Amino acid sequence: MVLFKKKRRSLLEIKKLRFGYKERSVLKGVDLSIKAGRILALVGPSGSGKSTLLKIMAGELRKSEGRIIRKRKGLISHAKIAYVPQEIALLPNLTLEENIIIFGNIFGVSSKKAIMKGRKLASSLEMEDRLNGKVSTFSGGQKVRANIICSLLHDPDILLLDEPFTGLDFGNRMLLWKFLMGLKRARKAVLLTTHNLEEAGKFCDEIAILKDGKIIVRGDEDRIRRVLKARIWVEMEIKNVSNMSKLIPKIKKICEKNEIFLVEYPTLKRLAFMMENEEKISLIEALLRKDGVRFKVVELKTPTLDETFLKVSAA
Amino acid sequence: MIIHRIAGLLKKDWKLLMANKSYFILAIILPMLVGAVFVLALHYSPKNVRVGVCGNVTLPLNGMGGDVILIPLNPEGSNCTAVMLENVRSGRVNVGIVFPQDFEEKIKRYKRAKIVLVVDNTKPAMRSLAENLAEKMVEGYAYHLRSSLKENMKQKINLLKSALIILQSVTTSAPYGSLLSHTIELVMERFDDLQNLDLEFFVRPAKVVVLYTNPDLNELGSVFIYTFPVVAFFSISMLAAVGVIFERKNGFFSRMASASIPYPLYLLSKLVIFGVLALIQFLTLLFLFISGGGRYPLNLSSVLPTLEALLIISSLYALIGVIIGNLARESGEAILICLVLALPMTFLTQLFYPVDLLPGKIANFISLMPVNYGGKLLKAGMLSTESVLTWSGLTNIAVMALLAHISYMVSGKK
Repeated sequence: MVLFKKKRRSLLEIKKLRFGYKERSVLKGVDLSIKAGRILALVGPSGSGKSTLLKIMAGELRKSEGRIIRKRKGLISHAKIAYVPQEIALLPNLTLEENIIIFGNIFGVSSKKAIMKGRKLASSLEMEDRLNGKVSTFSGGQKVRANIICSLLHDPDILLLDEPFTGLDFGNRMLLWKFLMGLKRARKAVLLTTHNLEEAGKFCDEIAILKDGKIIVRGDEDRIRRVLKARIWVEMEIKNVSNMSKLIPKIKKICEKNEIFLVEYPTLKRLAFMMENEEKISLIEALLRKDGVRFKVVELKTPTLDETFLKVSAA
Repeated sequence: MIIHRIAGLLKKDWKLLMANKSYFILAIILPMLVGAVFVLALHYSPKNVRVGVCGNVTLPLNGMGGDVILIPLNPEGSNCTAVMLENVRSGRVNVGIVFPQDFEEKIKRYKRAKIVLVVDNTKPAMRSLAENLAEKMVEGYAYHLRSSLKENMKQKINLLKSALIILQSVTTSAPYGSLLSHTIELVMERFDDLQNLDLEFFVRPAKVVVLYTNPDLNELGSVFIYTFPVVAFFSISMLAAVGVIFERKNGFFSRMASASIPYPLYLLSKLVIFGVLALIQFLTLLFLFISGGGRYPLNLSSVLPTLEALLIISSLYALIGVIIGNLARESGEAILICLVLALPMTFLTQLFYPVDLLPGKIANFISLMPVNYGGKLLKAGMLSTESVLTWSGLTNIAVMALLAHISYMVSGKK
């Protein structure tokens, strides 16, 4: 039994944040908060405004409307932010140690302290043997890790990472997740954007889905499935394929009426559906039987986050 | 089949060119600008040259071309040379001509006279023009004298003839001894004139002595004053622009934003680094020019004004470079823009073109172009002709603030 639940404070709060370009509104009133010792994954279809939101939080872009409050130790004073951009923001012709000194200085840290901190971070990210190597000679994974090292030299309270796992192999991804877990234990707040929902579901405390410039849902995996009405995944194998192309519009109509999400497979041999409960399967089965389609339910399960996300990325 | 292939390749090139409109525009603007400058330079004739004249002369000042504006400067009781030096230095007149007091007397007696030509030797193109004009003027005199000589000689020979007739008559009728002796004396005098006739006089009736506004500065030295801004403008603006593009592409602005570095601090670091670069460039070029024979009135009092001038020049050029870097999409485009700006400005410096002779507003505009303006500042600093940090110093600061603001406004465009 938990007697005293440790109260987590928000380090960063965003209220009714709006941003747009002349011709297009990107963020249409985003509300978001990040708490100390938590990892929040921000997901959304490409072009939904994830990177823009992070850039505004980091101060790279100027918001059009709304408020960003950075708190520290319960007071409204600026919490230190580290922003790890998607591109490798390093000086490629210099060594990692030289980069550490330069970026440490830019963050207001003395060269000596920057080297000490940099070595510690390099050790956590298994980069200590590459400190004297030129960044341009690093592999993709090493560049990502070097990018993170150079972002954390000023001991920030909040870490914003823009798609840090892109292009990384499984080993590198696990190493990075391990590092982020360490930051979580050190009561840092981490906000990252990713397209790898399975890993985000496993390692993040919460997932926030950004779509059409707004956060449409935020919470753990269960809450996301519940809100998106995607708790059941049914997959059917179709036997007599010839009738299917004519049947699809009819199935779509039924699905739309009953809040069932139809997943069209690249081939017509399979159909998949996401729905709130199993009872709705009978509606599909009845339609298929009526049209003489022979089928077999091959899978009935809770959809994965990736599968659930299909519903978000669909127009 | 080959036609389809060629058509495909042509379409590809055309589409690429049209897709990158800035390259397309630059490819048209660059030849147009350079062409305009060449047309202007090659069809140049010395129009509206303001020539200051000092000294008592009644001889016609023709021979300098029809577009010379003569400004008589005859101060009573003042030193003509000093007045002319002051007028040339201030730019009131482009060239000064001082006729010494004995000038006309010498000319009348067919003796070579001296003309003092006062020239601002900090402007190489203007100096060449002035010396050329002086040559033309002397040639004009020679023509004038040659044409008047025939009449003059006729008169003198007539005089000799009549004197000889008198001599002839008195030899038969005495006593006219005194008249005879006077006539013979007169004839002898004219013969003396003819005997002592300086034949060179008819080729060059006057000797031009050039007096420079900065006697310690030689031709190569004056060339340096405009060579440095040309080199500095291209290198500093290009490096600054390419630097901004590199920083943008390598996510440096993201780091700067998350480190809460204010934009003025970022700009300040650029100005400092390019100030140091300009100083290195300046010293290297100066060493080269001095090794090659360049001469400057270098003294300790000009060190600080020169450093001030260098700081302002490098800052202006770096800020222009930062603006270009923020506007250009990639390094190639930025370099092309710097080249497009630098090339016409190089031709329009005092090195190649006497800018002061252009119509007022155009001359003012051209003299405010970064390269010419840099030359003006450097001249003020090195030759201590005027203080760099006077009101114009404040203007420089205001211009830099404006450029910094523009660079900030355009920094978010890409």
